[in-house]
Amino acid sequence: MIILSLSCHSRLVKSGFHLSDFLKRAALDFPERTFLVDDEVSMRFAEAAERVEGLASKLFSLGVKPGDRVLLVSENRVSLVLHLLAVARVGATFSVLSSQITVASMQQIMAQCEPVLILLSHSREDLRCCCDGSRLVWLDEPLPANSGSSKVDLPLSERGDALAFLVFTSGTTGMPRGVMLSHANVEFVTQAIQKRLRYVPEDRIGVFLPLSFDYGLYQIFYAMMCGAAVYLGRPESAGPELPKALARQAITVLPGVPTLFAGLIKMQSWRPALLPDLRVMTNTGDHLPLPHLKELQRLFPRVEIFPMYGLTECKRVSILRPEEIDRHANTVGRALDGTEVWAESPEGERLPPGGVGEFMVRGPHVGLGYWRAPEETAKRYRIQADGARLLVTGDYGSVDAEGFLQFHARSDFMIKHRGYRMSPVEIEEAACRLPQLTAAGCIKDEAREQLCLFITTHGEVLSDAELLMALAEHLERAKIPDRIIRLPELPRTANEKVDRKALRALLTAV
Amino acid sequence: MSSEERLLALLRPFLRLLPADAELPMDAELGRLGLDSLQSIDLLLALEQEFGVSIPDEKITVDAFTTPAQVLTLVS
Repeated sequence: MIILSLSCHSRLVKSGFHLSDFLKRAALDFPERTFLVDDEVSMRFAEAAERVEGLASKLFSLGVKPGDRVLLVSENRVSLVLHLLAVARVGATFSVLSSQITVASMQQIMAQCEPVLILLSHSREDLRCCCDGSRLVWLDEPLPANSGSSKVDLPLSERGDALAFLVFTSGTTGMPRGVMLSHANVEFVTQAIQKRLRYVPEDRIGVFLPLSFDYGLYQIFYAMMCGAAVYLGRPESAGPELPKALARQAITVLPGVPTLFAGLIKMQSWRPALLPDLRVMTNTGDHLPLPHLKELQRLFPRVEIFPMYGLTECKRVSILRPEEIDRHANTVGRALDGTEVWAESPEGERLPPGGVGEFMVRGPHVGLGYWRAPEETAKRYRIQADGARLLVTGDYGSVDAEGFLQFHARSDFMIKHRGYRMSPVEIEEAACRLPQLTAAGCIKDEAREQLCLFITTHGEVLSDAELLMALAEHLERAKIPDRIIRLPELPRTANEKVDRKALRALLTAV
Repeated sequence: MSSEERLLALLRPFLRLLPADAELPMDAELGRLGLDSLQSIDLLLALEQEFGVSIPDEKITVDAFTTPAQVLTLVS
């Protein structure tokens, strides 16, 4: 099986790769294998490739051209994947947005992106109001029947280092920020990750993560590279229903974030389900605490667990192989092959093994920067004299003599919660829209796994629930605080900014 | 207390977006009131304890946690 997947690696040509090559090759190598599955549809690679051609010619006739941007908003389902692959096929740039995106974020992304087309799920008809100026197509409409139109000569699009897609994440300013990834980035990193994870054609990958999250999206790429199947689950299914869904869909590979695994541990300890097919779990998005890792090993003795670390800007930094866990527990593994990671001192010097500093990542997986944000791009991305791409991660840790990465802290600024990266500013700004609030400061209580919002109020006093409900108008669910703490005044830094360090110190007292 | 009242009392602490004095109708959308997938697991456990039942696997679906009325069907 491994030989087969290696042979598909070698078929990828080094230069001039295009995202649409994945499906073209898979349709030749694995035409009859199942590719996409949701609760209604199951589709093989050959049929998916045909459908994508059909959709691509439809997009082409709608005027979508290479270089254009197309936004997609939908729950996980087969038609979402077919449409995003079709956008890539015509050479346009796609971006999958959260199906729970707020109207405010959608407006900000629309203004930045100027998409020519929006592919929208009927469940989000409310977003229609943001779409003026762009064409709107409903994703739920039945797929067009295959016709001779797939013979239309689709434009030969830019390859290699050209922009393939955007992944929107929270920026440090609280504004959504589009991370730009190229075809060459995807080609390199997909192969490098597969070399560590070794998915096989018989695998069925259970995706309960939204495809707006790069961790979910890339599972589609791994499947196309290896001939594996992807079950597109609903993120809501990652609760009580998860063990059942895993059994019903005969899932072999489960990519997850710590909250998903915490739920699985609870369910499995309390009412164990037989999951004979499950063989791989991967974790990223946040650190998987060692007790949880041990508990997963105990509950699923035959499952291989891969702790990983990454940032959307380069997709994946490091992966720990299951056989390395015992000797290197508490690390997030070694850097991907063909890449380099080191810790740097504040003075910009490369630290010796064991020294704690900011992680720097170098390699062909480092992306193109942030969409239309040259200043932010310059802060985080560097091109070295030899042309190599370097990413300044903002995360802190050390690299030991054997190359294993030990993670110490996320950047002081960004918060990782429930697998999402978010800026405290975004939450504070949403809070300050409420007239009753005079100030807000947001931090994460790492010990209790809670997102905490410190506030000062005046006049009419809101209850916590009323406040959180009002916040829900402007924030996605994962970003709604778990705890509200009221103070007469917030601690401030010398230049009058909310002092988050001081807030963190208060956590032990409140 | 009727099972409906017992259920609503049990649900309340799981709904952090529901004000303490607000009504909780049987068709309220629990997701909008703050119930997430991880909490649904705790809710399931609490239901079994409160109602002294063992909820069969086939009843545990995503839709079972959408409204109080749906949750009630788990224990009746």
